[in-house]
Amino acid sequence: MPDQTLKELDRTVRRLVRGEGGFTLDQLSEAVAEILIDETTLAVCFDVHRAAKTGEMEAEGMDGDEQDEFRLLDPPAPGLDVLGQPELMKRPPDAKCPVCARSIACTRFAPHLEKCVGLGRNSSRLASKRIANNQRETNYGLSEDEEEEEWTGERKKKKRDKLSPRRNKNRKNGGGDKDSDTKSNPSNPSSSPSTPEQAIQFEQLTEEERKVLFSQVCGVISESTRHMCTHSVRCQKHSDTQRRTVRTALFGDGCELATHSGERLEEGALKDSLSKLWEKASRASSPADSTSTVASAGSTRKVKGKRGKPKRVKVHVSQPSSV
Amino acid sequence: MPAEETETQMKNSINQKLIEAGEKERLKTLLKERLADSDWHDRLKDQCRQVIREKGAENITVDDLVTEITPRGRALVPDSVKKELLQKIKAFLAEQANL
Repeated sequence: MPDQTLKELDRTVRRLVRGEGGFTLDQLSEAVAEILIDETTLAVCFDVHRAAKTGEMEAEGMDGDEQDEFRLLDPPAPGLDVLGQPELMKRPPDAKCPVCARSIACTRFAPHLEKCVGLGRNSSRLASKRIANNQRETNYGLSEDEEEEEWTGERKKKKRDKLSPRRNKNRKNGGGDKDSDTKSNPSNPSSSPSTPEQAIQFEQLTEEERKVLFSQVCGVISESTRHMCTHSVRCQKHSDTQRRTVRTALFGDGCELATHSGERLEEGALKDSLSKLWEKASRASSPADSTSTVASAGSTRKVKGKRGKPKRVKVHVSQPSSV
Repeated sequence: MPAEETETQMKNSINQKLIEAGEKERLKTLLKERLADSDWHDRLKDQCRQVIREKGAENITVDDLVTEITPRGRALVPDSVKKELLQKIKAFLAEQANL
């Protein structure tokens, strides 16, 4: 009976307000205020209690205990940051490598591990190169001339890690090792680190193998890089004439269309033909091209008469005047 | 019908009337607004945390908390807010007498 209750209620309230209930208006008002404030307080209590029980308070550190420890210093003292710690004191900590047990800087750890563990492409390349180097050292015991350089055979190109921090650091310092490697080689009279290796490889091929090689690849020696072109025998960068020249110089073989002549030139004749080849080449190409490359090539090529191996080709070329 | 009511009865009646008239809602909103402007909420929470720390977070019950905090809550209300609230309530009650 809402209507009745309502009427009753109104009556009661009227009575109370008029003071007939034994309460003053102030008392009544206070009572109401109390009700309102209590309800609001209750809401806060519920929230806090819930936070305390669910661990929210602990998680957010609302206990108030940590005030002193993590209070922000504003403004910070000179030399210290906002949390009171000295600036940039700690370098990134070192990690211990599980393989070699060395302490490595953590920024260098990943590349080091790559090499250390020996599972990646790079590390196996490194290992096989080391083996090749060791072999070369034993072979070098016989050689007299430190500066010998071979026709560069299949040249293994060192993989350049463009993102390596060392490389970038070197660049900043004005082109340290890596940059100047290939550029300075031509002008460097002493043997470059990579060519003796490839020389070995080419040298180790027997006559037959070399013929096979030349029947498969273009083989034209590029003046600028002293590499043998490894494109197909019909590669468009080089002409048949060039190919024929190279083959003639080395074996006396014909070009791909021609059959192998099987002749082998004498060493003296060889020397002559090769020197002609180089001089022609140097005159033909621009002076800029030929200066550094041919000059170095010339100075490092020497005839090895004593060895008797026809495989090694050494050519001594006089310095072109266009330097 | 008893001539004099107990406080509780009185409170109930007034409360009911307040709700029915929609006045309670209005008054409560006003109170919340005023309290939010002041630092009442933060102070109250500090009190709560204090109590929790005393009793221990695992053992604290809602009843305990409420019993402890309610009087503190009342004390923390700024005077100006209280005055304003009382004024409004009186005005409402006075209206009721004349209806």
